[in-house]
Amino acid sequence: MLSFAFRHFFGTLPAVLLLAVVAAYATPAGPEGLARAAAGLPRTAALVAGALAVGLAAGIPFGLLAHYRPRSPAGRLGRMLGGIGAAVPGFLAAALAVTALGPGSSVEAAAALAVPILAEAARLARRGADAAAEQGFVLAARGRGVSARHAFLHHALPAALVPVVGVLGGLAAATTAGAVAAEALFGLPGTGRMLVEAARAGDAGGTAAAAALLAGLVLLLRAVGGILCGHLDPRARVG
Amino acid sequence: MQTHFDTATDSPWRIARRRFAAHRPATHGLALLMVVVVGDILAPQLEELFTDGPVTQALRAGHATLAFAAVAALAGALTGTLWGVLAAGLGRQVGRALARAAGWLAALPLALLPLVVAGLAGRAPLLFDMAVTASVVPGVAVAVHAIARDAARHEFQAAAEAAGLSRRAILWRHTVPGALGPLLAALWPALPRAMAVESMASLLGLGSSQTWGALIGTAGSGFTLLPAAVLLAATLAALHAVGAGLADAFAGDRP
Repeated sequence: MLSFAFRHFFGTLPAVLLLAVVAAYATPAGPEGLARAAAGLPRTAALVAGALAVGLAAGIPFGLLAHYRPRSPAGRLGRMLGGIGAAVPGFLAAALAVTALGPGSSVEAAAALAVPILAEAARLARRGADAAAEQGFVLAARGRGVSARHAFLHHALPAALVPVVGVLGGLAAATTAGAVAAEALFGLPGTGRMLVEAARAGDAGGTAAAAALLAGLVLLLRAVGGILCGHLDPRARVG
Repeated sequence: MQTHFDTATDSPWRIARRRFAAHRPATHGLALLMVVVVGDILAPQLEELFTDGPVTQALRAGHATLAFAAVAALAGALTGTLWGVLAAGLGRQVGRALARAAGWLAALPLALLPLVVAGLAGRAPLLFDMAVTASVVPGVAVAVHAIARDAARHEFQAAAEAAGLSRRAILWRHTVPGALGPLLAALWPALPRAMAVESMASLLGLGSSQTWGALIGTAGSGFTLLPAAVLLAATLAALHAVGAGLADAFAGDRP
């Protein structure tokens, strides 16, 4: 497992480094522009990671409840949430939040960005739990005397989480794009806001540096998703 | 989900149609989409019912948003299809390189492409259109590559070869008709993706000033923002629901 994680992470690293080198040496702003963009990256990364953590932590239980307790209020809510993710992308959630609450803190921006992630995680967790139930290995484990709790934690839950973790890269890309809009709308200092301001001003160096760092952030989050997927599903480690 | 068809005798398209009809979110999404499109067509008449305000502006902006998304998605789908087919059809090294490049590009946050192009090359409308189109191309290429690769591996393909059909006959009688349905399901997501990318860039002040995204970006209050936001959210939800229905309709070996 450790070698798989190393392989996945170091497979992404050259691309991230290449993007940083291109931003530093092939743009008019040069290393200075890259340094400016890098100064805001921790804030943007925290915003994206926070939104992903909140969205996944809240969405997965709703999805599982939609499968295991479909008639409960939480289960019904989990079923309803599926459509919201597609309807309210991150930038729209951020625009609605900033209109309702006014320019605010990163916590409000992260909460707005977490809404589509929550809905998507609920939809995928429910689908994963449905698929796991159809395959019958949980029933086989119960037939061999495994407790219901153990069967859920060690067999059903990992299988239900695989679809969610499998799209973590796509969610990270969508959330990063949403974070760019959220930073610009909420007035938060970060690489995303720098990208918007540079694009509006036609500053090629600032745009390239900010875009390269944001792309690197997405690639790293994608690698984390790949490692988690390999941890949950041994088949993902092959090939 | 209850579907009534005989997989041995019904045609693949009839099976797909019944599967789609049995997918409730997809049928609801299609109905909602038709309401949005009809509302867009009837916008001039509807405008007379409201005084000049946010609702009228949102109705007017719907036309530009839908038309732009449709054109960008169509151009992106055509380019992506060509890329995917070439990746599957060309020799091993070139094909693999094309497929890998599509996969690499699809992994990036392509929704930011219009911003990057505006910063690097200026804010010309044509460049913006091309950036939105380009943002959907890699995703389409990856999906089409998978379909084209699988189409060559179907059992009916082997049966047609064993029956002595020429490559041309196999292509036009079996491969292309067999791949059309999955291709439709794979190309559909380009439409909501193009709409979302255009709306985000316009919201940030980098695209057209006459679309839902621009209205949301320039709205000063909830009252002025809501009509455009509701129309955009409803259209995106409807497009995604129809896409999910198409994916379900053409899932599995048959159709």
